[in-house]
Amino acid sequence: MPKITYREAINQALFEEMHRDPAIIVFGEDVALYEGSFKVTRGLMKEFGPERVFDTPISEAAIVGMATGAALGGLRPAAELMTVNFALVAMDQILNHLAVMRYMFGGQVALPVTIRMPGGGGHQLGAQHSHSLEVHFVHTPGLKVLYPATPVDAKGLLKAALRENNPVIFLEHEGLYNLEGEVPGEMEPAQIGRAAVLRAGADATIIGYGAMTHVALEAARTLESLGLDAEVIDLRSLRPWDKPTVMQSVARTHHAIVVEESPPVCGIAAEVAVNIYENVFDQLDAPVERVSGADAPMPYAKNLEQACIPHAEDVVAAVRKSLGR
Amino acid sequence: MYEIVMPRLSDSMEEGKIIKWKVKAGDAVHEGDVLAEIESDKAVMELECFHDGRIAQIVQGDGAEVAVGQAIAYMAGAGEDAVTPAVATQVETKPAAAPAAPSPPAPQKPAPAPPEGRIAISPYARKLADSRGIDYTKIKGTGPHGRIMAEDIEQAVRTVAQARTPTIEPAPVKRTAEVRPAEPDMEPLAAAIVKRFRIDPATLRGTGPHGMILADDVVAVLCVRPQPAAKPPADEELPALEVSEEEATVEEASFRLKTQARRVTAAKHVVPHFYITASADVTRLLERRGELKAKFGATVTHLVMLASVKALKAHPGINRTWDRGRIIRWKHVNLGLAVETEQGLIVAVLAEAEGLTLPEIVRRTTDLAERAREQHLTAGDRRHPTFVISNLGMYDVEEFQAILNPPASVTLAVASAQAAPVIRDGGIYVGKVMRLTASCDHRVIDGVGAARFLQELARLLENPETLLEGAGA
Repeated sequence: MPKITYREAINQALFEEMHRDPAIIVFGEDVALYEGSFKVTRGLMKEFGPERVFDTPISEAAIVGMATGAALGGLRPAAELMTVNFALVAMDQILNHLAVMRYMFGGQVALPVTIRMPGGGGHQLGAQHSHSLEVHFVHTPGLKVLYPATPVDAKGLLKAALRENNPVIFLEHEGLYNLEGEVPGEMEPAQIGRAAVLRAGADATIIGYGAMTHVALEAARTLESLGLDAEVIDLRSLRPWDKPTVMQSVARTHHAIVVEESPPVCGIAAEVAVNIYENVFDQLDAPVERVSGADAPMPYAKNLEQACIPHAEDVVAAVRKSLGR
Repeated sequence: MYEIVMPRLSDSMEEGKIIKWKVKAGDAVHEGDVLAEIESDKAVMELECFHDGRIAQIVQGDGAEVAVGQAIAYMAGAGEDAVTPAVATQVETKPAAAPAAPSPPAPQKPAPAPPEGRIAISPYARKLADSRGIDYTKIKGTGPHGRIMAEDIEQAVRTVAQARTPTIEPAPVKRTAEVRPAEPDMEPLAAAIVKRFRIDPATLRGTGPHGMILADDVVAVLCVRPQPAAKPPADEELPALEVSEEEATVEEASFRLKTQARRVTAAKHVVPHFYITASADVTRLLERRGELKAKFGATVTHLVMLASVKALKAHPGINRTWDRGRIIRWKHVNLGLAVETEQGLIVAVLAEAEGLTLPEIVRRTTDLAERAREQHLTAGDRRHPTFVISNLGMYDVEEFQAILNPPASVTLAVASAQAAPVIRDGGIYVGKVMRLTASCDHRVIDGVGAARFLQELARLLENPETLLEGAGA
């Protein structure tokens, strides 16, 4: 199976789906002539022409509004926002129009809109350009939110998003674009709402997503050298998320550790934890541990920035705390 | 230290009045003794003692009106000093009223937390302790802030098991908690229909992503909704016998026997049994019996077990279970064996029996049977049989039919090998023929599947060379 990067996997998904379905169009800032700020849309304009792949003015609100309108008109837009940070100026379009319109029209229209946006910290871009905003989208009824951690999931999930009739927020991690992995040439879409057990283990369940999946895996390897056997679950889909897989795992290991890149307050880990308490309380041998991004604006200084992002040793410490070993 | 609380003597009782104490502080008391007369909103009733010990302190005297659940006295257990509790604030209350339903035969109920302070114990550890009959109040926790964790309970179980206390089961090597899978997600429209038509979600089979229940799934069930099944007949529904002392002696059956009676009734009533019988000419196998007995201690039961394991390997479709619309394909063969003990019939399970050699089967079966007779079986030794063998061959039985023992979908009833005319290759001779009758669950096994399985089983038993090939014999 060929090895390609996360970036190339997303590019492949766009190519394959645009060939399959002429209703798919791609637009955003610098996605056409410049082939994307992160080169994710490389070759698309050349292949599909400027009518299906085109640049927009620097207005995220306009991009999302146009995507919503295009979907109402029968197209299947796959819009790109340069980064998740800029989605904030389009929040009215996303929360107040895109997310609720299908409901408000009584389901008479489909809204097959995919908004791709990379995010995450760790590149010394300062507080304004280092957000992890997944919680803001996950909090919103009407949206589906995907966050692939691996190249194969990036391709499979984007294909699923492009075939979905509800609006999908497709989050990519800037730090994962160069991650390589095996990806099939032609592949079926992945299933939205389904987590992946990336590593089976008996002692504790570590739940991660996006870049944190890799932090969890690295922690699991360290734990193995300490004689502790951790299971690692990649949520992949943040809304809806795969409760059965998580509950079954925790009911087996009796210890749960959730890793999130975003700050802890009202976060993904809090949501996962409360669901664990509600569903498998009697199976818990310790409180659910959260390993979260710092509850602070992201610092610019490298050492401080690193201190604000969860690392494998934080996860190792949380697992050991939970296990009392 | 036990707390004696105001019991709830009727459903509507909120508080009770102590009419008169029958004991005083310092008195030794025994289980079943009457401690006091209590007036509920309905009647005056006697408060019985549930432990042996000594009354430490009476905190609510005659005439006191006390809310249900409030402490009225403290009691020291046998061997404890009758020290008055320093703090009378209640930490944990334990209803002193006898529960109406028979309680499970836990060896000893863990004492409630002493009034001195809360015990930090994880939910799972508490659950483990209760199921294993471990008194966690005596355990020192090794978790954060001294919390008792599952490992502490397992350690206690191991300690007790090493001390060979017969009533406590050793911990299983692996954590095998019963996991009730989380309920599948349901589409909102599906949930609305379920609510509107009062459909039991357990009857639904989700076809959406990851088993999500879609509206279509609910409609499908709604349209072919079966008539509510009649309640399984229990002997309670037959008129009670009126027996005089001259006619017979009557005793209450043990909890274990009652449970078994209920399960066997349910199995026979719920599982659609069908029966299929084959004969195996075991003449040649029995010719080697003396040799196999001398070499390995192998009996006919062991040979039938070996044949069953091999036949199941060729017919894995037999090794599965129907459960509430799900087909469970077992990854291992858990070979159940009906064992006669003083306490009655027990199905002991050889877990993961596939691929076992004959000497291994003999060793593990002997060990299981011995422990079954000594009542030393663990929960793991009884768990999830996937195929059960019942051998009555030693009692000159021509053939019989067994009741299934879920989750096993087959019980193989093995009869005696009896002298009978055998026609083979155009000739007739006197051989030893054994009748094998499989009781099968028709929900997962059909006649052809069962017949093919029996055919393979008989073939193995008729050809000792094939049977013993690769079986370490």
